[in-house]
Amino acid sequence: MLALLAALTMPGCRAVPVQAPANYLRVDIDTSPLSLDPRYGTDAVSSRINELIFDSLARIDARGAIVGELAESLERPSPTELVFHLRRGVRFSDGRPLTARDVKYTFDSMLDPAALSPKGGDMAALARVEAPDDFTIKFITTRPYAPALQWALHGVVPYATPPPGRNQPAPPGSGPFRLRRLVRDEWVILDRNPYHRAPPAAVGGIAFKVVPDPTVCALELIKGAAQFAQNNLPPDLVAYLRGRRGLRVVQAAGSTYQYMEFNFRDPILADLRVRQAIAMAIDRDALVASIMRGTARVATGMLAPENWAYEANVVRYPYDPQAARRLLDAAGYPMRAGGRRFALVYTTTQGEERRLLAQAFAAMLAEVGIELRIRTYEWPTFYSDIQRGNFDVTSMAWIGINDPHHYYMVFDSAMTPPKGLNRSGYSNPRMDRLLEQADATLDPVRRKAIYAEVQKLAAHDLPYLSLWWQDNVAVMSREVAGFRPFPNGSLRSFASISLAQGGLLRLPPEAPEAALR
Amino acid sequence: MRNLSLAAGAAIVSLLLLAAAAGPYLTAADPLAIDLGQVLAAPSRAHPLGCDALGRDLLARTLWGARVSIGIAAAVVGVSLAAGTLIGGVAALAGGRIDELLMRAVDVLLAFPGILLAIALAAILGPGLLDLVIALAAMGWTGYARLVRGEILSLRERDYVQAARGLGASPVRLLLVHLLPGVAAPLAVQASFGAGGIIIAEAALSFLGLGIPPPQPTWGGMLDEGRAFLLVAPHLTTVPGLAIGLSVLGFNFLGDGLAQRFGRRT
Repeated sequence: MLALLAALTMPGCRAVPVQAPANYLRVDIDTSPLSLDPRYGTDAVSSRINELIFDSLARIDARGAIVGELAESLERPSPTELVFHLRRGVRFSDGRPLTARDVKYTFDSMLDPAALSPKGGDMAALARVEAPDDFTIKFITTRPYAPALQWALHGVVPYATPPPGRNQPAPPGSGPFRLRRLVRDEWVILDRNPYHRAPPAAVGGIAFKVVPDPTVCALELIKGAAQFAQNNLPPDLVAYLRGRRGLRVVQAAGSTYQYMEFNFRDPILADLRVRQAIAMAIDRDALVASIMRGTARVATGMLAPENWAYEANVVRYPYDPQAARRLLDAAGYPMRAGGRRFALVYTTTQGEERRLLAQAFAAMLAEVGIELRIRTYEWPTFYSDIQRGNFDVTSMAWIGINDPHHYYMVFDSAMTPPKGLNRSGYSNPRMDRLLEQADATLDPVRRKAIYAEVQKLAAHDLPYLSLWWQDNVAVMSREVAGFRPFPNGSLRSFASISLAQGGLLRLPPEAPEAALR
Repeated sequence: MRNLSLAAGAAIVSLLLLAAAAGPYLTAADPLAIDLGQVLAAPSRAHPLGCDALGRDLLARTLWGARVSIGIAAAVVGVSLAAGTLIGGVAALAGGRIDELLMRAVDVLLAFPGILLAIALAAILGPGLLDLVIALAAMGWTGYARLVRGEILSLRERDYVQAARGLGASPVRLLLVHLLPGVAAPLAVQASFGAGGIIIAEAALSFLGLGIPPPQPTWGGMLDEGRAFLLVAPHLTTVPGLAIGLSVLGFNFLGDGLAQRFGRRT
């Protein structure tokens, strides 16, 4: 019996010949990165690792502001031009100096339609990139385009790096680390970039190990086999690890936005009163307190409060099942025999947490007479259904939202898939006007005012029901010193992280847990 | 000699049937009602087996899960038995080309690992009770067809069958009156083992998310949902795990006992 249980719950043990060198930080990740070429890797794990290997013109700092990285200064000589002046003395990890030619090549290769870079999609307004000299880069846009600075966040690869292919090594970058070894689905081992100055006592490298099962990850942290894990443990396991000696939990406000999406092609869901009723029937505070164990904040919109364009003064939908029932009555869906009014299909993926959430929604909506039929699919089927608008209700998350331009991608009526991300078919001419106007407004104060209207309108129209912003939760050994959380989950502080000497744990006397809210 | 296996098997299976039939009367708790104040609660007076990750009563869910497991096992074994007997019987009696054709078809199906075939079918058909029964029966009937054909081929040569045929019995009468009763005993043994196998297969499919969609409780689904809480709340996996183990054990004992009773080796 026990053997059966074990066989059902443990992934197969494989002999792994790779060993993490001493003085390397051992980090557990839940999946293998899809691409270690920053022009192609868009999944969360690839993004996290790529920003350790590659520098970009600018970067988002721990407060969420855009700061220069390869660029030491920025000018806007005209509304359609951005000029970056590059730092000197930067080298790729193979020793080649990084110049404007490399930066221009990186952008040209993303813009090349033949290269099929997934990041080329939101660069339609980028007319061309020029490199007037070795240390100057010029973006020329087709029209005055406020989100243009976002392009500066893409990692830079050396000149003439071909698109990724079979048996082709990942390109070198100019970031603090370089790739030493990649064993798909098992390890990603990073070394120091010898041409990037490391602080004294910093770790010699990072050894990422792929551990898909959260229980195994928790056990590795307890045993010390892993020293760090971020955002890959369910809240209950985090609560369990909090009390452990030798471990430290750093929880910080995050920008990952969890939402419920409605399909406007469905006549029932096209009725605003139905969407409002659903919003009021879901007790988000209770879900955050119970299932999320307080590792999230109930959201009011896509932008978290840390974002410069955040607008707090929007319609909110406090939990009120009575009001929800009245709205549904008024919408012409009276309660019928069996205590239900109508049924909707809720489409989700097969992860345990996704299924738990689905069942919690179903139970809460059943209270007001809406039957939610849960359908779980594996990711590719799920995603293609969502892209084709083949769903009633679903729930997903946006990770790494930084610029409010994201509102354009998801709510502008022209942005239906495959062009954009407006999967719900939401269309409001006023929203379209505001979004297009915001993109053309370079003055940040005026732009912010427009996005305030956008956020109010989105909260009223409810194409998305905002659920919560997930915190970044990192569990680490007390040996680890110097970790700083970023709202977007960046691990960039690994560059200056260090490990306690001697392998033996010297515990500080009851250090209080870091609470960075 | 006392037949311990039969007694133990019959006892466990009866218990299981009772749990499935009378489940709703054994506990007042609703297996679907979530209570976010009771998330992962340990066993208590109000919840004898504790609560799951949504605060649902684990006892109620386990009892309702028994309905699903037993119901599916019964349906799948019933369908497989009927299909297998029909096809095996036809093959044995018709002989020649038809026999060849049917048995090669069985060979083809048996060449697939059973659970893989069921997974493929479940993935194609989508989640749902009926689809699950079809997926599991598709891999289940072949064993019965082989068994029935083999038994009939050997029974056919017995004197009493030869005598009946000599007296002019029609093939249908021959099959229904003289041959099938002789096949009943080995079929009962096979069905009993089969039921245990189906319970495991159903749990495996539900564990993989290919079974009955949530929130309906199934043992495999409960095991899957509890997996993330193995360290925090081990009762979430222990309870459905024990339920699966116990029922498979029960059906295997029953099969063993029946085999002993009918004087056959399994």
